[in-house]
Amino acid sequence: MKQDYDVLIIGSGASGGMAAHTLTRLGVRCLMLDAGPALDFDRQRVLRPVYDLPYRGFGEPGRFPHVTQASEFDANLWADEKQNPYSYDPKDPYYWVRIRLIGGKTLRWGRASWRMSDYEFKNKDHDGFGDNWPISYQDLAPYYDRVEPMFRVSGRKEGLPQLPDGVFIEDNSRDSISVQRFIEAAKKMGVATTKPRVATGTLASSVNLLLPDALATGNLRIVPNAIAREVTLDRNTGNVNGVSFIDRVSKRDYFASARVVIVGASTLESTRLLLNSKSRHYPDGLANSSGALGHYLFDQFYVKGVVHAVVPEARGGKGGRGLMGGGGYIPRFRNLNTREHKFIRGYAYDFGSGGTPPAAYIPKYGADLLNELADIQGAGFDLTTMGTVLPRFEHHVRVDPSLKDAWGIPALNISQRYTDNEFEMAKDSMNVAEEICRNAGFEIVAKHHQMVPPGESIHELGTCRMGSDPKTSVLNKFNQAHDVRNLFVMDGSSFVSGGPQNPTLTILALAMRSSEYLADELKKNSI
Amino acid sequence: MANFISAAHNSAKRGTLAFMKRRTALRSILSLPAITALPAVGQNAAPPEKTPQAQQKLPPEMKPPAVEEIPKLAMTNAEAALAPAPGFFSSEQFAALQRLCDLLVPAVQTKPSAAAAGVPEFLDFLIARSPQPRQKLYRSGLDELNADSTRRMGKPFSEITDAQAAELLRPLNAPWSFEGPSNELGQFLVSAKSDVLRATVNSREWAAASTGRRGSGMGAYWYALD
Repeated sequence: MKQDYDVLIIGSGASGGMAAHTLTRLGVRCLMLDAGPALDFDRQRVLRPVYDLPYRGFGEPGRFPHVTQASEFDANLWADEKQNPYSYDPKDPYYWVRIRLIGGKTLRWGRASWRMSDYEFKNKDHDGFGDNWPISYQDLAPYYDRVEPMFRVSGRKEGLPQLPDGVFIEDNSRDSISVQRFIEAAKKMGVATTKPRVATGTLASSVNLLLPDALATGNLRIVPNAIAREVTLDRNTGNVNGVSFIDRVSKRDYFASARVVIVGASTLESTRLLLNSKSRHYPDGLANSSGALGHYLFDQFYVKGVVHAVVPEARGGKGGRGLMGGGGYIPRFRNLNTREHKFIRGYAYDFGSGGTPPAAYIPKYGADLLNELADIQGAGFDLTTMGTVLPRFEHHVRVDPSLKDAWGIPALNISQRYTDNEFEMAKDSMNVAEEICRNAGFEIVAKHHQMVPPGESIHELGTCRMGSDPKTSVLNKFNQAHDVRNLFVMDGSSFVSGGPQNPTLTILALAMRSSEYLADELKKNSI
Repeated sequence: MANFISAAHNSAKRGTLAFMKRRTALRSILSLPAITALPAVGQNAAPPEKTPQAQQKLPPEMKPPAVEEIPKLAMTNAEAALAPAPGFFSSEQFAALQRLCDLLVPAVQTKPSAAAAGVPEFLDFLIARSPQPRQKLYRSGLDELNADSTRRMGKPFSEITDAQAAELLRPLNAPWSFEGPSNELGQFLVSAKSDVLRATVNSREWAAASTGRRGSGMGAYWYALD
C-alpha cells in the first residue's frame, strides 16, 4: 500500500534512528530510507577460527586501503571502497570509513558516551577562535538526560565542569592495582581520571534501541537499499518536496514525497546529498545561500597507543590477583583555567591495563622475542590520545566532477589536514602520558605522537553547521535549514565545533531535541 | 529439501549408470514404480521410505537416502589436506624466505615454527595478491638478504649459520620508532617480523598446539551480504 508520509528520514543510524524514535511516538508518520540492507544476525554471522579464513586474518589485500578497522571477519560489513569512491589530494590522505547497513555505524561504534560542555558549545568565549554554537549546554542537558538511560550508559559521576555528569548506571567497580597506581600518579600531576562511560548491552545500536519502538507505533516504514540521489525542491513554494532515490540492487529509480525531509545519512553523506541537490535557486547545493555547506570539516585526532608501557610486577604471568585489568579515561585538562603557550583547547586519553604490547615494539626476534612476549603477556598498560581538532573554513568537501559511485551519483573530494595546533597537542599528550606512566612505576616500551590520518577516528564532523547567522551557517539551532523551512539535517555535519569527546551521544541528543521541535511545528502547522 | 530431491531427480533423468543400478534395485525391492521411489518436487504423497512396511523390508545396508534432511558432509580445507603450490617468489627468494621464517619464529616448546605452520607458502600467496609496493618490499628485501649474504659470507641466506644470519638481521634489534628503519632492508625485516609472527599464530598448526582458551582465534564471521 502506498501512502503519504509526514516526514521522510534519510539514514537509519544514530540520528535517523533517533528522529524516527522521537517522531513516530509523537504520532508523526515517517518513511525511512537507508542505502544498505538489514543484517540478519542469525543467518549471516557464524563462528569461525581465524585459520579457516582465506587470508589467515590478514584480510583480502588492498580491499580496504582506508578502513583500518575492518578485519577479515567483519570485512563484509564495511562500505566497499570501489563501489563508493571518493578522492583527495595524495599529499593529504583522508580515511573515510563508512557502513551502509540498517543501523549505520551504531552497529560498530565504540560506545563511548561523553557529554560535551560549554567549553565546546561556547569555545569562542574561552579562546576567541572560531564560532560558538547557537545552543548552550543547558539547552541540550535535558536531552542528554533522556538519551543516556535509553542507551544504558554506565559511568561514574565526577562533578567535572569540562565533562558533565549524566544519568548513569553507576560504575563503582574496584580498580585494579595498576590502574590505582596510574590514577594516583595522574592526581599528583593535577590530572583527573574517571571510569569509562559506555553504552552497555549485547548490542547498543539504533537497530535494537531505537527502530523497534518506532516500528511498534505503526508510524514507521523502513525501505532498505534506497540510495538517495537528490532532495528535490518545489520551485513555487521554495520548500523541498521529496527525495529521488535508486534501488541499490535493481538500480531502479524511485521518488518519495513528504512534507518534511530529514537528512541523517552521516556527516559527509548528508553534505554530499545536499551538494548534489542543485537547482536554479541553489546552484551550489541545496540550502547553501551562505556558501558554508561543505566547509568547516573537522574530527578528532587520535594518537593510537601514544604510550605502551609494562607494569614490571606483572611480568612472568604475575598479572592476576587484581594487579592488572580495567581502564579508564582522562578528561581534557589543558586550557581550562590556565593557558598553554603552544595550543588552544585540549585532549583526552583512554587508558587500559592488562593487554600485551605488540611485538612490533620489542626490538627482538626469534626465541628472544617469543620469550619476551610470554613474559609481558597481560602486563601491558597503554594509552590513546583523542584530541580536539579546530574547525577551519578551508577544510572542506566538494563534489568531484570526475568521479561517480556505482550508481552514477557524483562522489566527494575531501580536503582536510592537521595543523600546528593539533601537532603541538599530540606532542604534549605523549609527554604527559609518559610522565604519568613513569611516576606510576611503569616501564615505557614505546611512545610516539603520530596522529592517524584525518577521518580515521570515524568522528568526522561539520560541513553543514548550525549557527545564528544565516550568512555563515546552513542550519538554525534546531538543525533546520535557514533557507528551506521543511529541511532538517540532524547528524554530525551540524556540529559547529567539537572537543575530545566522542560525538555520538551529542548527535543522539541533538536529533531528539530537533525532532521534538519539528513535531511541535507540524502540530502547529507552521511547516 | 526441495532442491535436494530435484537434484536427485535430474540426475536420474541423466541416467548415470550407477544411479540407474541403484534405482532398479530400489524398484525391485519396493515393488513400486520409479516415480514414487523418487518423488518429484511438489508431490504431496508421503515418501515411501517413511512407511514402516517399506523400512522393514529394506536390509540395513540398503537404506534409502534420507530425503527428510539435507546431510552436512564433512569437508576438508585444501590448506589442511594438500601442499600448496607457491610460485610468486623465485626459488632463491623462496629459500631465503623459508630460512627467514624460521629465524623469526622458531619452534618454541610445543608451538610450531613458522615454516612448520606453512608460513612461507602462505606469504607467497598473500604477497602475490598484495598491492605492488608490498610485493616490491618483499622481493627486494629477499634479494638483498641473498646479495648481502653472498657478498659477506660467500653463500646465499638459506645456507649461512644462525650467527651469520644474526649479523644481517641487526636492524631488528634497533629500538622501535614510528617512522621505522630508513633503509629498504630494515623496512622489509620489520614488516616480515610482524607478518611472519601473525601468520604463524593464526595458523591451524598453532591452534592445534594451543591449550586452554588462549590461541583459539575464533571470531564472528559475517558472510557477504546480498
